Amino acid sequence: MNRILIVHLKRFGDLISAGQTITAIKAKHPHAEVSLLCFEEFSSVARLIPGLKKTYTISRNTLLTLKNGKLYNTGFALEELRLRLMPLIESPWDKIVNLTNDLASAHLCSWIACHDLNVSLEGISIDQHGLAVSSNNWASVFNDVLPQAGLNSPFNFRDVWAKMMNVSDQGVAPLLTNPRNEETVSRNFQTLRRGNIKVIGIQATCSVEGKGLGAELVARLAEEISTDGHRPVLLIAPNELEREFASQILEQIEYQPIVVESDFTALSSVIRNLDLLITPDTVTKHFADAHGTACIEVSLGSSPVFKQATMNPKSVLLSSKDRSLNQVSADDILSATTFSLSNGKTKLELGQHTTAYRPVKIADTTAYQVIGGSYNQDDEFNRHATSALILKMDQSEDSFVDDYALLAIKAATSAKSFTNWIEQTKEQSAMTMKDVLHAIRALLQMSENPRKSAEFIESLDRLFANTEYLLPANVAVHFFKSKVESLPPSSFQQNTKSIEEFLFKLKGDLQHTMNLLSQWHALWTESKFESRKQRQAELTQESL
Amino acid sequence: MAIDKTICTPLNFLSPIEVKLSKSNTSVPVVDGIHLHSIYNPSKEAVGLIAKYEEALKSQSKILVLGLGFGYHVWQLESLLGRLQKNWEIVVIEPDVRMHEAFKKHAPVEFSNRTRIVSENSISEFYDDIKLVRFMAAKPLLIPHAASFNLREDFFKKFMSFNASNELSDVVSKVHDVNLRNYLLSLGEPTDDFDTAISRGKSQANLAHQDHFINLFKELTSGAR
Repeated sequence: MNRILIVHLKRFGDLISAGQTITAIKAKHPHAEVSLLCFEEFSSVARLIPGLKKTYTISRNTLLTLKNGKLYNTGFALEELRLRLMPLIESPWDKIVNLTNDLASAHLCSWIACHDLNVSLEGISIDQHGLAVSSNNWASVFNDVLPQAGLNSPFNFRDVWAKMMNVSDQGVAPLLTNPRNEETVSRNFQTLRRGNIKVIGIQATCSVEGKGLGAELVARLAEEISTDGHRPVLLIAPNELEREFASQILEQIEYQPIVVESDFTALSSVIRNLDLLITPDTVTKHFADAHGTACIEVSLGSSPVFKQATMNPKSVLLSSKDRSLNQVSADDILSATTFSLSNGKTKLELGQHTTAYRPVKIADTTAYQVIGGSYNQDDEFNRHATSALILKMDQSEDSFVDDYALLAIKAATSAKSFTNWIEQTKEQSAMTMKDVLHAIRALLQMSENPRKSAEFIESLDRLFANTEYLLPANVAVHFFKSKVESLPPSSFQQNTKSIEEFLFKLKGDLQHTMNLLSQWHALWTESKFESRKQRQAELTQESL
Repeated sequence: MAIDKTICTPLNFLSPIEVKLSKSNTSVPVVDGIHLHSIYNPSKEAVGLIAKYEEALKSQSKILVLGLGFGYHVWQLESLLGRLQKNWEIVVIEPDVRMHEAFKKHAPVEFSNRTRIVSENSISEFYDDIKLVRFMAAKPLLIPHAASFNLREDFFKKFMSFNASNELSDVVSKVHDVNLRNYLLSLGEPTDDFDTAISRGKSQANLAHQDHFINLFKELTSGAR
């Protein structure tokens, strides 16, 4: 493997996040030249990704201006894109890795591949029939399953990329820093950090409306953190808007925290040298994860929660249970801060609308364990079961199934809620199984009598109707649907044979779902028995 | 959309350009009795004109100047930008080719090679200049030279409200790659609207590299920034 091109057409935060996967790919292929194609507007963070040979860029702003500006001939936009892309086909690539799941990147990868038939494609591409093609099951999880998960995603993007590429991004090299910045920041923060005094960064702003913490809340956090004896540091970008925001905060409080204004290169050193970061869902949290700095992530507004949440087991993720309320209070954040600084030894005290999660590692992926606050139990059970089922489809060894079960069991507040969920999910799975068996029967009847095709199509429609949401009972149907939709327009017999094969695989996967539910039920009974035994032992001890 | 034919009409400015000497002994062009710079001290006047933009110039390194005159304002702008920015670039739009020639002949001030003066024979020719188009697409700061702007107001208004043709053949004329040109022309009639032609596209069977390219282009140029 000599030359690998990573395609990533998203924004700053996603790019920093992808940087860990890129570094893992480079670590797996140390002699390969790994290059990146990204948008020019976000390329300033690409230089912080270790081991990149070259960064190619597309200027989306220029393209949009030339295409949509009435002054300009669209031909110039076409030329702009063509000239930017030409270097990509001038010498051959061994592998192209698409880390985005949009049509633009899929067509781009296919365009490059058209110029070199020997190149291998990882991720999503578009075939000659215009159909989306997933390079493996995990690419399908990325493209077909996660988008249906809404806010209750079973996996973080980064884990899916790592699985898709068969690499591990745990413990890979952190983002690069400038040695001069590093020295200055380390020295300055060291003077602030004495004894138990910690340096706690607060990301003051967020570019997306509704996701930020707000000036009033940040001011309160800064004041309370300093009252607790720690040193709050406000982090802002070097522009007038953020300076104005920082002055609004400073006006509200007596204690004047240090304001650190940094570009992305300097930010890398700043985050690396913090003891803890409090941040909304913005690029800084990805910097924190890349440097192993613990953070309190406050997930509000349009944040996709688990899909892109902090993955550091030392971090805490705070989310608003009712997204329409869109608030997490300063008290909640302060409680999580104390909890994190004490390594989980203090009690988390949260308001009735906030939920706290901690990332835990299971089978090289990140699960989010609820550790406090109020939450919807079914959401917790569904997420953990879906993660376990997807992993089960991929791996023969399944010790992780019990680990996920334990997370779900810990989230259960009563025997009734867990067993009700088990029964309900079994029922849903049985309904789906019925639809699958009906489709198999309709397919066999159609094979004997092609005039019965309408009934078979109807049975497929009924199955596909199960994919509106992502639930344990239908996760296998999502994979099935993806495979059916990617079937090339070949002969009727050939497609019928493929669909028959997919249907039997789906039947097997649904059986796995039923088995998992039975296994979880047994574990639940066992855990209740164990805890009863433990309680009895405690009572005996107390009475002695 | 009907295209305004005047944008392709040659720019014929007939009034003669006189050149007078200012009190400070520098040349000043005069058209139809209008002095394009101060007849007392053009350099001093330019300092005042450009000072208004000092704040904006701290965050803008690309400047589009509307009107050349004899360039005192541009010269002053260069001087200020040199103090405020590391890399800067100025493009001056001058509709009257004769003004450009007179400026070169009298050369009252000398520009650095980061300043480019563009004079063309018609409005559409300005927008055929890829270097100018790229510069304008970068959203430069606009500084009109009031005297020149007022003198050629009709031109500058049309220049700033130009509507490029989106006919397939006109779009294709700017594409250098022969294969891509032929592919695009195969999508419709030369007079078809470009966007309509590529939306119609080809059938989805047997997508080749040009289909992927044009689909990529469609995806990248649709939606918000």
